[in-house]
Amino acid sequence: MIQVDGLVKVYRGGKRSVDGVSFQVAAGEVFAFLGPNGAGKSTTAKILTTLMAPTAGTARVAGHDVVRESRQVRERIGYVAQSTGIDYFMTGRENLTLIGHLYHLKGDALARRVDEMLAYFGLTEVADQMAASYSGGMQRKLDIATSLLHEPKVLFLDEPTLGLDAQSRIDLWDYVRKLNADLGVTVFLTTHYLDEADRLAHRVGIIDRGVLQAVGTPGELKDMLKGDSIAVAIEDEKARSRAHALIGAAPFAKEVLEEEEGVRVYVDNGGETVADLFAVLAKDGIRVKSVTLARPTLDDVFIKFTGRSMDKVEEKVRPWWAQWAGDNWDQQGGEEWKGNKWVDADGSPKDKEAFEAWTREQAAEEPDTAPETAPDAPRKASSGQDAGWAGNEWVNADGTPKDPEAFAAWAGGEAADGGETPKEEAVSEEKRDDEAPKGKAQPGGWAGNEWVNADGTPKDPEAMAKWLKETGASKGSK
Amino acid sequence: MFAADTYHLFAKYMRITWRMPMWTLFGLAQPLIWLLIFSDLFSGMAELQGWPTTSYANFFLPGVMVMTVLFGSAWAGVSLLREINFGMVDKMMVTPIHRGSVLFSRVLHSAATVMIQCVVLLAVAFVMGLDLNVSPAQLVAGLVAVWTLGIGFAALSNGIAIVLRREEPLVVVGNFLTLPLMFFSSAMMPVKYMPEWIQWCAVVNPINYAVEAARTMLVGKGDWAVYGQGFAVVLAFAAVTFAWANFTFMRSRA
Repeated sequence: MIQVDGLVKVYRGGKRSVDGVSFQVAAGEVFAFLGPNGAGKSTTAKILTTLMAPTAGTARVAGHDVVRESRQVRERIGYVAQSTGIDYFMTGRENLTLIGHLYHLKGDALARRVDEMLAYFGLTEVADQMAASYSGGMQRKLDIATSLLHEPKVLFLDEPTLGLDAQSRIDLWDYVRKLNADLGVTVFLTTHYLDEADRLAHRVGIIDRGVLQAVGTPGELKDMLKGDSIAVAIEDEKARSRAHALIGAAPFAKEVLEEEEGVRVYVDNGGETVADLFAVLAKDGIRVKSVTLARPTLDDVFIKFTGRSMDKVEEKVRPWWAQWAGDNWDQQGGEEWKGNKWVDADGSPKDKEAFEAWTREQAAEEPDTAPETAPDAPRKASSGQDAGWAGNEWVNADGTPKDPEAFAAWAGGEAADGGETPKEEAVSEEKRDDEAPKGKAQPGGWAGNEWVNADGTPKDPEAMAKWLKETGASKGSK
Repeated sequence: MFAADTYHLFAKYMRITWRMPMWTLFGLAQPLIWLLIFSDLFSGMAELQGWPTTSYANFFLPGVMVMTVLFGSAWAGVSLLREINFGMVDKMMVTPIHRGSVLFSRVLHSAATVMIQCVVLLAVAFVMGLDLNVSPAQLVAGLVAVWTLGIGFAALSNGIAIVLRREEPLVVVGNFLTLPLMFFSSAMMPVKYMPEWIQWCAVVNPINYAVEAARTMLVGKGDWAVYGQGFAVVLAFAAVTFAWANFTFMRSRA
């Protein structure tokens, strides 16, 4: 339904917003572009919806070229932009009727279609009220309704839940699923919300700095990582090494690490494995204090492909004075702080001696969260930080150098002195370009609100039952 | 499809204007005050030798209508910027409408609101006992000239808005343009009493031609030759500014 080949967009200022993006979206699919602000998501959406011409490359939507056959494309697509393009001084019905006219619908057919859309989105009661009196969620629904009047084959949603409250977001997700299932509309969605891409999309494309980093189902993308991790806290220190050996021998364990509080196990399916894990430990009478199951999130995937976390990418808003400041307005002002003469961006001293002293201090203070700057911290703990850091340009997440030669040297050194790695050297020398990510022990900061839990399930037991049924159904339709 | 698309968008803007008639009436307050004050203030000028009309108010009426056009359409671009920022323009542009109808419906609407004000001005002038031409053809022709100038000026404002992309500088530019354009025309004083250099300015000033065309039809001799010349210039002005505005608009979206 969508076919994109080597798409490039260079703005007049010289900024390469989209840099050689290629992908396909099949009919009936929900495809999400996931990336931070300024990654090129919206630009791609604007090119595909004919609002902008690409600098190079081709794109076909619903069988037509977006540049040469833009009119045919427009007749077959719906577009919901970041800002709701509805007119607040008109009623919901008037808004729909106007857009219907612009799609060249007429008379009774148009009136019927408008009524259908109002009913579909539950807006019939407020149809003759000014859109200005609608809530944010209702305005969004009206906005989507206007883009569906002409029964498009593809629906483009550019950050559709930006600025909506939690309830409206979930509501909107349901509508997108419904649209996709009921009407068979192909959906192209851009978002910087990880959960949105994860829960809504059949396939996700991860985009950063105008380059498509990875495409796949959320499951496929997460499978590229190590899998789920189960942290088992065991109070009895002696039992830990036994537990380590026992679990290591179990068929489900992909990797077992000994940590300060207990052991960490990597498995394919955490939820199904927990029971087996308990059984293995119970056989030997090992008492478990607590268990934490962590699934990899799309943020972990993002980190893997881009080397930085989504929430660390700061939004660069183009200030209003930028138009007079020239094209390089952000060369001084917008740049991130990269340290000064004496210290790097993460606060570590540049001086080699001072740096060594500093790393020892850091290690003493928080051995868990700064493994990449702590030579004395156990390497095991460092590789336990699967969620936070995926290495930089020179070193991988586990601290091994990326350069083949350096790697060989490192492997040799590792064998010789048992764990002393050249990684700290590399880090201290190249510190200034490192974004100094700190390990993130618990992926996903959000722990739900009054109505929903962290995983998006409702807290109310009845609603939960309903949700389970629905998600079960939507998974079936995938 | 251009006509139908333009009509639907134009109808939308008119409907919104109709819902808030206060603003149109507010816009009318200033020209009305001018008509009343200036007619009195400059009443002595009609006694100058060779003054073309019987009273100053009679002479000034077309001038105040053109002033209404200038002040009413100079800010037309502000609402375009608002519509761009609110995503309304994107919403129109993803539909298969004729590209030109987006701007054309806007300038038609700007000119139409100004036209409502001009009709009210005419009515007030009639009540004031001004010596108006009563031929419907002449009145309509006079208003058409003013409407066309409104289209041209609204197009200019829209084009400048797209270039500047900010509301504040647009207001500055609007202020900068309107007053000189008005004083360098025969809106307030016949050209023959002006210093020579201002006469030359008036020759290249499209406002001057609009005033002359409207004057001959509304209060003057009803000279169709004068009108034809004036209207041709105003029409050309409107065509050029609209073409430029639309070109700028399409380029900004490339």
